[in-house]
Amino acid sequence: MSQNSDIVVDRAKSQWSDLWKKEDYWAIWLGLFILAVALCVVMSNKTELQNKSRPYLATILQEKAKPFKTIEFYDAKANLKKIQGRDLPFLKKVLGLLATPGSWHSNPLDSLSLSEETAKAANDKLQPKIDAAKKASADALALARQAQDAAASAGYKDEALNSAAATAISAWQKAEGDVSKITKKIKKPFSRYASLIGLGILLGVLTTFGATFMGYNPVKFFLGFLGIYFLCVLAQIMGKQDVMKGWGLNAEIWSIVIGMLIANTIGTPQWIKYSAQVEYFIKTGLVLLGADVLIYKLMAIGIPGIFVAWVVTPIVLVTTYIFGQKVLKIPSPTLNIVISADMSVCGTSAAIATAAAAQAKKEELTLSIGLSLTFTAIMMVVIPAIIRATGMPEILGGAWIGGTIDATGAVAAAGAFVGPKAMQVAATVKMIQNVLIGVTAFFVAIYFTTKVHRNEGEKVGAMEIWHRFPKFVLGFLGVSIICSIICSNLGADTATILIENGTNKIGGGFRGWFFALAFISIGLTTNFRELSSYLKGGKPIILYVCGQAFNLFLTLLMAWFMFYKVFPEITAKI
Amino acid sequence: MTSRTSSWFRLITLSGIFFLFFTYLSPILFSLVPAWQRFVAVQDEIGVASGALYYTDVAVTQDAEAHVREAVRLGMEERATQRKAQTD
Repeated sequence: MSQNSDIVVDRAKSQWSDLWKKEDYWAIWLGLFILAVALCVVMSNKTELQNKSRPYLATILQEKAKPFKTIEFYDAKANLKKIQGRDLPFLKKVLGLLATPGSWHSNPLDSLSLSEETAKAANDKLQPKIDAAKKASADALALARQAQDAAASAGYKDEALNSAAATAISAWQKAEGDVSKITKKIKKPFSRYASLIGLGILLGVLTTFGATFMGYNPVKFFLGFLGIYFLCVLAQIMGKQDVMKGWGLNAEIWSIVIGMLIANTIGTPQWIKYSAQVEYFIKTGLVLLGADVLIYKLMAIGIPGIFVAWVVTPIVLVTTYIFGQKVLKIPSPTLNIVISADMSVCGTSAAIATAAAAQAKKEELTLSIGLSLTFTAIMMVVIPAIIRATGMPEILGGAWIGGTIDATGAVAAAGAFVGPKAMQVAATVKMIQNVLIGVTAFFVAIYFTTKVHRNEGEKVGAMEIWHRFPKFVLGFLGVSIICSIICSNLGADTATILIENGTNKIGGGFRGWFFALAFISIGLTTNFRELSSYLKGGKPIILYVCGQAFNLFLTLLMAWFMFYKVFPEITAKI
Repeated sequence: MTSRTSSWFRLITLSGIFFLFFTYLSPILFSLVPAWQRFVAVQDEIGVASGALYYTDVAVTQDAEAHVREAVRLGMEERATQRKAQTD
């Protein structure tokens, strides 16, 4: 008679003291603290900001009723854009503290400071172009005003006059765009030395506070943290070299490279390794990321966007994972799911969230990001070339780019390479996929907790699921839900001013630094030989290529079907 | 050479190679490939870094979203009008 191998194991180990001893909870407390401070400042100024924006919103509503977008409409929109939560004095100071090094070409020190004399010399060269662009814009405005007045005097009933006015106003907007492009090149003197030192101390104090409760020696942790932070600043500087954007290499990638360089040559000093707490930094960054996962963004592009981003993506994710498990027989399910999520959802940010949720190894995350980066660099040039060569419609091309290229920045750049409409659709589709991160992390955590991280035949009870479940995912989702509810209650326009361009700018700034700290820590604790062992047999590469090929096919098919067969009216209006 | 010295030597050499490649060699390669130059110029024009991780790090997303939302609203209104006209 065979033994019944169904063993119910219920080993609840969670305790109340976890709330102040475990890093998952400290990630939640730190993330909530940062967001709560920013939110309090912004909400205490809510009435003032709403009063400033109200007249412009009223003008926009009034002008929308006219048959074309008027000069007053665009003026009101431009003035509304200047009202931002991030311009509140306290938030402005904090954003100044969070500022990363600037861009540079051949001298890295240019990223840390720019003198008034150097800025003036550069701006003096630019001034004639700025003056010419402003004059062209003023001339275009005068013509637009004439055309609009002519249309208005006919009561907006003359189609020819309306069309002429719309064309003249479009030309004025293009001239304004040229002014904006050139004035963006104006250099302002700056110095990052004081702010970077101040930020290092602030981040050190915040993280050491939590680490102390987790059992670390506060002095040792703080000192080790400063070492990691110094390397992080170095990575930020490397990421801002102006040719890096051609390679798509950002500060996070440089953090891994610098960390691995040190770890695999001289070895990471013990005093730095003590504070290289990858998961602590990553989970805090993820909780902060939750504030940007705003659920109402899902409907930005209507049902076509939902199908391209939220139907295709889970199909590709699950299919690729099953392919990796059953066909390629990749030994590590966590490596499989991280690569699958990285490729199908939205690149590095999805890889980070999935790796933390599935409790993947750091080497698996590093490998996945390396694969994503390599193929993104290729795809962001090749896909636009294919779109142009085949004469694919811009909107279809944009949806294809948005649903397939991994990194959000690369998506916007590749879309812009095709055309303005392609860029708009690509960026919006990718934004909707970004919102998918929260749901992906939650279900991956559930699946791995209940099915993967258990012994053969073991039945996992509810308490055991709770004990094993990565709690930071609840913080991540909780922050997302709270911010989404706040935004829904405020209304779209106020939410943009207060939350997206206010609170979340602070959250985003801190998030960037926490991810950079996490990646330095990954690099400092990664053995290159261990990393290269994951590549044996080339299975991760085969998984990525096969999954991405399927993704490319299915996304193109779904985008064509939704945008051109089911909802051509939406496509015509974009 | 002691192993400690050779470790430092490797670190400094590799760092130097990276620095020279990205600061000097990369701009030369970049100047030889017009498509690459155009790609970087587009990024400069729209203020995007291709390494940006999340949509909130890409400034153009807000305007793109607003434009697309408006297009969806107008498109769905037209669809409803067409359906109403068909049923009437």
